Amino acid sequence: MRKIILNAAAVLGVLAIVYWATDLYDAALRDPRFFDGWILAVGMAAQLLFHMRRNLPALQIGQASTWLRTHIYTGYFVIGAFAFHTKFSLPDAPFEWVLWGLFALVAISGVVGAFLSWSIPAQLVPDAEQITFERIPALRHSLAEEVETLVTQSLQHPGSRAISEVYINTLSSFFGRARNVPAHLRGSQRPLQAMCVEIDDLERYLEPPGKDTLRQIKDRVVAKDRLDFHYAHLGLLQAWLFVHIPATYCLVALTLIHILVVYAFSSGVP
Amino acid sequence: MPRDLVDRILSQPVFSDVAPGDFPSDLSLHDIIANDSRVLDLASGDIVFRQGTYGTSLFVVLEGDVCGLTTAAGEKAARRYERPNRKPSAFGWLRPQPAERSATGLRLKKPAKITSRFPTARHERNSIFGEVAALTRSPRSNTIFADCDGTQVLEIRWPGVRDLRHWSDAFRRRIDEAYRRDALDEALRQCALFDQVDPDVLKMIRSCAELTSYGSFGWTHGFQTAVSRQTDADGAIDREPAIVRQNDYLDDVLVIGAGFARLSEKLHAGDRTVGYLTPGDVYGLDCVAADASNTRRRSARHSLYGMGYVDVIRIPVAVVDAHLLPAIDDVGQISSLTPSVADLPSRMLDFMVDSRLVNGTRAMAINMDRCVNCDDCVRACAATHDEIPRFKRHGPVHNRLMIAHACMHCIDPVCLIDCPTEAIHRDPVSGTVVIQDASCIGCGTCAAACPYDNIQMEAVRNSEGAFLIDEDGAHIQRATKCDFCAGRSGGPACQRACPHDALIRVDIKSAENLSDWLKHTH
Ligand code: SF4
Ligand code: SF4
Repeated sequence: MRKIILNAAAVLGVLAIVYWATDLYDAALRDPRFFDGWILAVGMAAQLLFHMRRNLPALQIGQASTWLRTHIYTGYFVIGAFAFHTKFSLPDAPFEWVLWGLFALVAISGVVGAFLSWSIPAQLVPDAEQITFERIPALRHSLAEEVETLVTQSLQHPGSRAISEVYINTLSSFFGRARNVPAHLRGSQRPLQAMCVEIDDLERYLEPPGKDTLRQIKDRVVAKDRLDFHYAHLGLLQAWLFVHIPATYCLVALTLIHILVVYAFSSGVP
Repeated sequence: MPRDLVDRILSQPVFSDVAPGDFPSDLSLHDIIANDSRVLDLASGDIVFRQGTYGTSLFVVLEGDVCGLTTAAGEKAARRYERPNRKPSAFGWLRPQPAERSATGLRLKKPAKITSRFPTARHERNSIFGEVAALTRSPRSNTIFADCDGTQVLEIRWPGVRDLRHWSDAFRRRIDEAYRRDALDEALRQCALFDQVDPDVLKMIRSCAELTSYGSFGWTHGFQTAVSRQTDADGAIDREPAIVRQNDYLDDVLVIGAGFARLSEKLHAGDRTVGYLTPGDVYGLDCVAADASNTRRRSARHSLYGMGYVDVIRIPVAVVDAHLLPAIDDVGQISSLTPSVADLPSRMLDFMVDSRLVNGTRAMAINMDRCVNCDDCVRACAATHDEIPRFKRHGPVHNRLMIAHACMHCIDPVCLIDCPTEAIHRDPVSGTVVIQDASCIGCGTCAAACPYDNIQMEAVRNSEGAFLIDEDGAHIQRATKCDFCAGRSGGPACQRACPHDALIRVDIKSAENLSDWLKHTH
């Protein structure tokens, strides 16, 4: 915690210095947007270095965790520098709106991503039996197969037909793909409870072998629900990157155009 | 090795009762000596091995004498006198190659000075040495060097030692006898407590001490199955031999010579693990010292169970009272040598001890509270190892801690035992366990022996990326595992690549590091 406060204070300190220096630049009757614009551009370029470090693991320059921390705090600094550069106001031209929107998208997705990376792993721990995002389809498939086998076997007992009905109406689609993702993200247990109630209600119509099969099916429903929980959260952990990274590259491209345009139409004296 | 040299070696007294008829026709005694041994021609001061280095060879003195340093002061002094034993010369290529010299390439500059100033143990002609490190895969406990010019030493590499022990009862008895003699000395030497004890007193203590072994060298067989079936810590303890039971009267103070022992205490109806002991740790001395005046009250505070194979040196309490305690100036030191209750939560200790993860010196620990499943660690490993990652990012989990399936570079690397070519070996200096690709024949013995499932067999590809196939049409395989990024600067790539500080390589013995890290990263 102490470290976080110190780092946050350092970011605020540097921002204050930049603000003061921009003021000085302005007082010298120069256009401060060149000054804070270049500071913003350098900050953004520094942010790209983190992507390079991640994508070139063989180079092994420094500890990746130090890079990530620097990336996050530089990100906060860049947000501040952007606010100075835009004079805390909204843009007034379509191109600038696009730039502004992309910057907001990159910044918000970055902040959200940092929050998700901090909060989601701890939520996964209680029932994390090494469920990785890539393994989920295979695990789901094997659960679905187990349930199908149980249902097929139950057909041999005439008193267990109700199981096949519930399988056709509810279970087959439940095991077919990831379900209830929004509910899992909200932390809601209601879909699972509803399904368990439906299964429990069925029990009274079954004979002992059918009851036993139903119990086994219920265990698999709970296991599948847990897979869905992981699917939702692990998916979210990856999804934010699909917003953050493409938006970053678009922003970089448009920023370069912005700089070229600014210099092309400037009077030549910054 | 030429035939006449092999005949000369086999005519030595040390092989006198080894009958060639005991060996199978496709692995004759003659072949073992010819293929798995070499003769070192040593000049005075040439170092055979140094303290702290790793090696699984066993040595027999054929001619002359060798000396072993027996004190820490002697070892320290010897370091100052070490020099390379052959200076590289610009015209070296003109001269014929000399016979094999010391395995280390080092020589003590003034051996006579060392032997006159510091106590040494002498190994004369026909004596065996180095067997303790070979059998227990532990570091060499002292430096051994030639005492005179013309010394000849036979070095038998591990595969040879293993085969000789396997086929010849006489040779096995001889090595085991040497082991029982030297293991006792080495255990006492390893234990810092005896550093301040006068050599004569130490000799006396040694003469009264006794070496007892628990468990078997082959503890790994069936270990994985046992761990997977085990549901609670008591199940694991029940299978372990009891060395001391809590509240029993203490007859001896114990020093762990080799292996591990679990320290536990009674809690309600069960046993709770409170720590574990490794070589050089002492058990019971704190009780004896605390109740020095009241000999009746000396009972064991904890139970001690052997984990796998353990060598224990028993020093009778009467000897401790009469000779050891008076020799220790600073009795306060005793508590620091007696392992304190480990710093990890009890259930985590159970987890570490039951799964024998305490064997790891560079285990891969992942904090599941921080791991975002990004696989940057796996990618970094692959990027530094021909695109094939050397570990699996899953493994046993306790609470929020996962010990991933990556080679732990164990204190006791049992994967080394049966490798037919010594392809898997310990780096003599760093102690990491590495596989030499060129010598690996892909038999899979090491992968089957690793109790932690940390070695994988990979199909070998050629430079175009196509799989290599043998004459039967099967893929040619090779063992692969984490090499701790040997030879690469900057340390292990996996740890450096984790952006969330979720992964470290850790020596499980320094449990404080692990618990500090878990607290710090939480
Ligand atoms: S697979 Fe290779 S390294 Fe492993 S035991 Fe066989 S030869 Fe040795
Ligand atoms: S790099 Fe770190 S956070 Fe990513 S998968 Fe590996 S241990 Fe987990």
